[in-house]
Amino acid sequence: MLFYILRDKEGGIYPSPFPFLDKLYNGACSYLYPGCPLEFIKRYLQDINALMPSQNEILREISRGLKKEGSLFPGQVQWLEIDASSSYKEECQKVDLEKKLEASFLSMIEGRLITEGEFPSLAGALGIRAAELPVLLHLAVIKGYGEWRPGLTRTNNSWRCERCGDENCQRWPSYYGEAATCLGCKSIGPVTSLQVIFRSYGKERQGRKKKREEHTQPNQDWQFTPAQSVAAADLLLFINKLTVKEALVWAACGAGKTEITFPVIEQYLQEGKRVLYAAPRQDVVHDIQPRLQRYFNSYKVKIMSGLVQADWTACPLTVATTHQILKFYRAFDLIILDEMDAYPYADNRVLEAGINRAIKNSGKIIYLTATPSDSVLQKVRRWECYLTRLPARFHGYPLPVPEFLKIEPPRLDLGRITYSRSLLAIRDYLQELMFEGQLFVFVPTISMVGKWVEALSSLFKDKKITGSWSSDPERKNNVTNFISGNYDLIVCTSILERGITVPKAQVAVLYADHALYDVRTLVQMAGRVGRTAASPQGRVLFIAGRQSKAIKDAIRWIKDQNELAAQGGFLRDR
Amino acid sequence: MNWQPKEDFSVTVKLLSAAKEIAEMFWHEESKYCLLCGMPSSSGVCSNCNKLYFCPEQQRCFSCGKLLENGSNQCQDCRKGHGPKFLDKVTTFGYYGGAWKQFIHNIKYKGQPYLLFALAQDLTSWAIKQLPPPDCIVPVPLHPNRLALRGFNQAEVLASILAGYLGISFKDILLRTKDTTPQAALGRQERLANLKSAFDLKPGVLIEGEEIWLVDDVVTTAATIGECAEVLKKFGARKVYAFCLGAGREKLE
Repeated sequence: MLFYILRDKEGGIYPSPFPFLDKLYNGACSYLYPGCPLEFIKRYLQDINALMPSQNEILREISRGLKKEGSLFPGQVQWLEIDASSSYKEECQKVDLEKKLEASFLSMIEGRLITEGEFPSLAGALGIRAAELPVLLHLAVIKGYGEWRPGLTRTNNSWRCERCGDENCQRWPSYYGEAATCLGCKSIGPVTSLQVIFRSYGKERQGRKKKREEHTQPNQDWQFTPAQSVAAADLLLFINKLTVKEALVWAACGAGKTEITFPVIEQYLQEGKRVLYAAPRQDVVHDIQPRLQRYFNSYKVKIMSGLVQADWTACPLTVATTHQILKFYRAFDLIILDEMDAYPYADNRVLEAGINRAIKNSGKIIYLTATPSDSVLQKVRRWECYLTRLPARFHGYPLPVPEFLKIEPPRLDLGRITYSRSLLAIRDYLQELMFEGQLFVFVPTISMVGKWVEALSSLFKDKKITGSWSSDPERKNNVTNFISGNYDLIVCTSILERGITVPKAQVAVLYADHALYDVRTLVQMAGRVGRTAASPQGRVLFIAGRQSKAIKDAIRWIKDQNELAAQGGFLRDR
Repeated sequence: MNWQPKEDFSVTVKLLSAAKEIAEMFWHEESKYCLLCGMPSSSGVCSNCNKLYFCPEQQRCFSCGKLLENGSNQCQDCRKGHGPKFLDKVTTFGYYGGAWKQFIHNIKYKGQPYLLFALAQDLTSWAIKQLPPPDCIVPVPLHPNRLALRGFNQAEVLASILAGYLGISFKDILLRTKDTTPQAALGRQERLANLKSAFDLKPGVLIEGEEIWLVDDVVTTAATIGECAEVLKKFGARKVYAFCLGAGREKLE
């Protein structure tokens, strides 16, 4: 979109894409022709020192800029009177602006960051032509609902994205000199420095009625366990009584941590506030949305992910992948972040900054995880984050405590696994586990998967064995086949550590002292066992030549959870 | 239980891993992914996509660039005389569909012209294999208004890549005088009419007797490149060849 420099009667200057609109509403009288990208204008206006520059100074600066960047603009740079009878007027009247700028449109753009790439989709949702949307958005800017930002702004020696705040960008030569495309948030539609972003101020509109919708009783078809109800009450306390902005729910794997946020969400929805439930992966999002929708059946639960078409209706409750958070600005009163330590959220500064932008100043954040990262635990220690524990699984059995076996698994120096005493010992243990149920064998690297599948197939001739890893083209197939019980054993890398429930599963972790395994990975892998009420127990083996710190920590974490559960009286008497 | 050597061992491990990190700074193997489908691949575009979209074994219609199925070298439309008249040969790099279409859209509409550089080698070798070497390479121009809005001309990017790699001079000598409706929005007959006398040569440019490569992103009816070629021929160009990124497939009844 091209912006023009406008000048009003008092000599104030500002950029605008539609001079005619500003004449109508702000009394602007002249504009500089030609139009340029907003970033270009901002950069060259910055160079002018005078507080209230004269027309000539601006004109000189902009033509100098155009010449310097080598753009071959054919016409003359000049100040023009804004012509009230220009073709824009007809364009604007056709839109019938005032009428379209109604509450539904404003609630759609409230709290959003809208890039030019999203304009066609939003225009489609509104049922207007794509060319009309920028006019409408600019009217919203004039009326103070938001502002225009350049896609990227130039910093001292680089560019910074206005959507994700990242400085990782690709520069390229353009008509206006150097331009850049942000690489940090490319996956949800690229932004370039030649484009603009509409950013809503996200403030409460005046005269907006706090809607207290008639809320039917939530459709609760399950019961909280004692551990869950304690944790849920704790969260309500955090929301209502505490001034801390963040809370961490440290749950055992498979404890039902999603459900304990429902009472909090319910309270927010009844107050007419907006809630976001974010998870790092698409499959989790698509799994949780139906559950929330079933429970909060009187509200619409919106889903946002790369898989579904953009939905622009304003909803009190949104479920989204973490990348989608970048599309919001000061939009939510409560953000719940599921599995915050899972890829791609873990250690991703862009997404972390995205959360802090999407939350309102008065908003609160709840992190849910089984394996909190060090940074969040540090926050807890500094009293910046409230900690709630959910130590017991819903079926009331303690978490299976991993056993450490001091057996050095065969090395893979020769390219294939050779028979050795340690291999035979491992075979005996795996055999034992397979009596109990299906077996996960975790190995640290992709290259080991194939070799172990081969070795184990020759050891267990009567068992069906498969392997899978993160970029395996057959991954989905293999995993669904394993879950449905077509295989006895799966050799895999840590891809399967999260979110998969197989009844009667057993776990063996080979090379558990490997540098790639940290305490969180080990705890998650151990958490695959005993997730169903029908088979609440099972065995977890950590097999390695030495007991690393991560192994010790993982065993301690799990024991701690069990102890807490026992203290709280959440465990079933046996 | 707490025996000393373990501590020493961990120090060794730390030292070794630090050494490995430093070594990786010098011997760095980049993990590559296919530009089109995103699967791991050894080269810029994986062999599957290469076969699917670039079809190096298929003939192109020499007068309009369409990909042909039946081994001939001209499509039926052009045989009937509907094709452009002033072009000596046209070649296209790939089939304009699927991931390749998406890729071209990313370049054109989504502000990522730099993506083309990753394919520079492939594009150049294909072009020079198909067309005789020219005196200069000329991009199809955008109207100044559209150029101001988009900020770059994708044909210009492509032409400058070819010119740079081949060491042939790049000349931006054409001018678009009419701000026409985008061709993508029109049907065949409208496309042809839309472009009537939309191009001109920049004043003071001499191309008398030169052989020229004309470069554009997509060719559908070949109306744009045909119109440009007419202007170039009118001002004395001896031969005009065209190179495009994508074209359709001939549909046989």
